Amino acid sequence: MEPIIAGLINLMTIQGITLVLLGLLGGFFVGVLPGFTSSNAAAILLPLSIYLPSEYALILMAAIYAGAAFAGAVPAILINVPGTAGAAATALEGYPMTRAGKAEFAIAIARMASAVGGCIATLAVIAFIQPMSQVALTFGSVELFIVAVIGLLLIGSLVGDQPVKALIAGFLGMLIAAMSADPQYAQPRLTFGFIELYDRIPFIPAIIGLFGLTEMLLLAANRKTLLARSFEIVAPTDGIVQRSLREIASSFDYLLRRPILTLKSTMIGFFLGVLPGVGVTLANFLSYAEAKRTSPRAANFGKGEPDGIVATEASDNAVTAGTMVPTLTLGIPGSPTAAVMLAALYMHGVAVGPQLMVNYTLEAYTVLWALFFANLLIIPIGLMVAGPLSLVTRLNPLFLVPIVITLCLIGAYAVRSSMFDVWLTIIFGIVGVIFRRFGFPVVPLILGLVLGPLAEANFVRAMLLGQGEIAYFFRSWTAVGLWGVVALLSVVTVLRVVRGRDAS
Amino acid sequence: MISTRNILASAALVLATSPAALAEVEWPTQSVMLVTHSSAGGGGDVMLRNLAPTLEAKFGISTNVDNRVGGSGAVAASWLVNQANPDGYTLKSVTPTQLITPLRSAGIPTYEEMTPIARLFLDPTTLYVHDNSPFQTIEEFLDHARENPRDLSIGIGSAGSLDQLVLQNFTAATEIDARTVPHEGGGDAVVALLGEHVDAVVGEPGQALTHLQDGTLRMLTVFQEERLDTYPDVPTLAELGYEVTSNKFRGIFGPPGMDPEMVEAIATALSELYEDDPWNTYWTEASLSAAFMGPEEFTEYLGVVNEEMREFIEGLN
Repeated sequence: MEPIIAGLINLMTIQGITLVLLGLLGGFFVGVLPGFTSSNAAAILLPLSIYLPSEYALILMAAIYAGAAFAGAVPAILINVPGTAGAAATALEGYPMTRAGKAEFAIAIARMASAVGGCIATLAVIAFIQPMSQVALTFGSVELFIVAVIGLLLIGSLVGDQPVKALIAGFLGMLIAAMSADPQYAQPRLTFGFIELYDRIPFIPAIIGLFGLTEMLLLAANRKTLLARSFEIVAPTDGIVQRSLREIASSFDYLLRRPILTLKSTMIGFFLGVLPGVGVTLANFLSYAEAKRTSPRAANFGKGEPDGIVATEASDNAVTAGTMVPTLTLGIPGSPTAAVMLAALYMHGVAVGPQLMVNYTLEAYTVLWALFFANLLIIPIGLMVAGPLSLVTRLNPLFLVPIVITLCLIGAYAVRSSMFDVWLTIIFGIVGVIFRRFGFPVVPLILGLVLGPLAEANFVRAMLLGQGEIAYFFRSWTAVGLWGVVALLSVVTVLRVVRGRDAS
Repeated sequence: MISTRNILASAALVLATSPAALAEVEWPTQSVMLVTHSSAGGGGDVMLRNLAPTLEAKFGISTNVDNRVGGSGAVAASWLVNQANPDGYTLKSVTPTQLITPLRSAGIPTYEEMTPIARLFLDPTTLYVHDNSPFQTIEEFLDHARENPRDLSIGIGSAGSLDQLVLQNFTAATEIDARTVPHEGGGDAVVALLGEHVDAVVGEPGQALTHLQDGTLRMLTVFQEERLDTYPDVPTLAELGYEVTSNKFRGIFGPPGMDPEMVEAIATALSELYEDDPWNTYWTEASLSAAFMGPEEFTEYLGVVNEEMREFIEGLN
């Protein structure tokens, strides 16, 4: 308990709070721009951080991390362009809300859910960091494989009324993800001679293409939207302060009335964040699918359901907190941004690994408290920043479309300075248009892209480790429990399909 | 601001002394761009991000680190060959990946199309087990493996990597049969060992540094000619009579068509950096051995290593 409070006091200095604010603003900036990530921003800071005390550098990076996790939702909601990979699922509900004239409420919900999810998960990390690190280690290939299977099963709850099209989309996603060097022998397959594909299809161009570019191409193709502005924005009639306070109150009230949804999404994000190598995208889509599966308003999902935003954004910021567990206790980066944070520690001669929490207890808790306050400050600071940004929806599409397409392509290029990724974005944009025109859902495609490689690599490893014995897939209580979830989900999905058929 | 002023100052200096500059090339006098194929936080990235402030402090220039990630280094390699300026101010970090990737797939620039400037370090490859493992020595490990073929699983960072080559040479030389389990990078393999999902890992100590220091993991052997300074009690495999050594080098390449005098000047400048901080802290903390080679020696060395890699890659297919 003592080091936890000491860490809090250590952060509560002018410098500490200033750094949190600066990092948060930096995080907003990179989060809003598609293709620019918090790991880029943190890496740019890395050479500067050598001149700062090690914990100051980490405070900055933690705040950037939290800020970007929220800010990615803003363009996802406003123009269907996820600013970060973690915001892709947010676009599914956020953008329809914008089209219905509820952009500001969608952003308010995203902001509050990010802050609440981030704060709760960070407190969970502060309280349980040591035992959680052991949980991360019990997850071997078998357990990760079953997590991937659960994710694939959840496609079932997202299929809507077109199960065949959803399955086609899901398998297409896995097929596209298979265009890579295989995980066991490193032999290229389906790469058509493109060396860029060895490490698999990069994810950010796919997201930018399928969401942002597709949307802009469809807007441009529709004469009506080009000639007349289609989005309705309610003009503010009262003072900015009152309106802001009301926005905060109403979004907080919205979350308070959904305690189970908020907590469940936070838990999913937190746990998947703790597991190294699972990734933020899976966590958010799982939260989304779970929210839809259990929602009384499941039919409204995809048409602008605020519950969907609560699920994805609470999970998104909870993941950032969860990744701190393997990073600080094992020296294993839970995400690219966490890897840069480890590199910063390394440059300061701080031994990362299990002794970090022993030898640098104060610094570790200071950083965790910085993450907590960065998440908390998302509410007021995010309010100031997001307000002006939402004006973008009042732009005439005639100007909006070329500006956003340019931003999308620059963002795709920026990830790794690669023209290949730009072409990839364009291809995914066209795929997205075809999907929309013929009524194929895009979410199973993305889940296939994310889950295919996770399932394959861990399955291959598990087969090697278990010498091909099926029994190895039931080697631990964790594995057995996860298989139980698989069985339960399968039964529920089948029952719903059968019942749905009876009803119709 | 400071670095801008310094650039101007050094540029003025070069102009003023240009006849002398013709005779002897000075490096660096302007901003240096450092390119790596590894992503933020990866091995090559961390190396350059430590080199950058060292160069800035010593020469008063500015620097810029650029991550050109993708295609197992192929993206960065083709950029270096086709688009980089060969004026000596665009440099790239290299590892054996730069040799392996072109061997795996035709059309990717090889080391012969670039300018090898200097080898800086050797990264030792080692074998380690978990503290709970029954094996206290490499002999016990080998005995068990001989008596129980395919019982032991050995994790490596990724398929088709240098670690796999070392592991393959190790099992061939010691005549054991163990299962090779590739992961998504060295850190991932260490996680699997910490969770005791694999029996051992073949990799660099740097990726498991603190776990080795606090005794959670135990190093059994080193695949190089001499014992490590940091682990003087761990025998090399050569001491048991098996000649298995790894050549995981870290160095610097430039674009094709560089001025040989410039190449010499860069190599000389790099050779004099080992004692400067944060460079010194970086390589000592990471258990790297300083293994400098100038351009000519490095090129010869690359030729030898490349042949070894070629046999390995062809053997995989």
